[in-house]
Amino acid sequence: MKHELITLLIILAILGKINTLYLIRKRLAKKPLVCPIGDDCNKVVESKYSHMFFLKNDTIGLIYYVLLIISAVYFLSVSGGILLLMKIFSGLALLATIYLFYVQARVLKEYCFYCNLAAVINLFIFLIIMTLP
Amino acid sequence: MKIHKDVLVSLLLRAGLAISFFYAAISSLIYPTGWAGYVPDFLTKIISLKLYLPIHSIYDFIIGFFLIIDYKTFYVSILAALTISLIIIFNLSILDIVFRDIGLLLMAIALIVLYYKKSGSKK
Repeated sequence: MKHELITLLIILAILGKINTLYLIRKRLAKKPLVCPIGDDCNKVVESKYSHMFFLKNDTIGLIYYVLLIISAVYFLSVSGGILLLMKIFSGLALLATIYLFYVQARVLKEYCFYCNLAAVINLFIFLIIMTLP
Repeated sequence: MKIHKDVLVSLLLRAGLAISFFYAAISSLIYPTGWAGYVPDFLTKIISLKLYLPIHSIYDFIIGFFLIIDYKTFYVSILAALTISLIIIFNLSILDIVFRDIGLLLMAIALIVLYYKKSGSKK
């Protein structure tokens, strides 16, 4: 079961990484996002809530997903203490995700497809990490 | 709420296929013994499993990656459809397992149609 869960974890982290890279690329190129569902993604990603601790949320996400892939591979070969760190960070990521979803729903009243895709990915990552043996 | 159906359908098809290719790529790297049984006998006579599985993993990963980033999707979908067809053909004896691949094959064909029709020509 362990290797199946780690495989899923790595896939989700890769999807999350590609999602954040897309957002970063569009931001750097100053091109508007094309939202498959929803209203105006650009209003959300350009709002004052689009950064934490002097870093853009997409950059924080990218760092998180890269570290997650490294941790998953390390966990597979060594196991042990890294799991606790993974649990803590995935929990923090989920809290940030819930906060950002609240901001979209209640404060901005606009939804961003890519942000919510990241939210779903983060939720599944958290659930998988919590079930890791 | 505005919905761009074309973009959404393409994204869902590409993501669905890409996840399957990513799973095969990563799982066979992590746990090669679980995948060795799906390799046709004639291939193992030409190339050793130890060499073939990582090469196939990289190939699967590249297909998944190109699909998800929407790079040359028309051609990559053709490649994906051919790959899945071969998997089904060479594993007909375990159809109870590979019957789901027929669904994946049709998804790849749907992408080929979608990207062929999109601009009236190949994309």
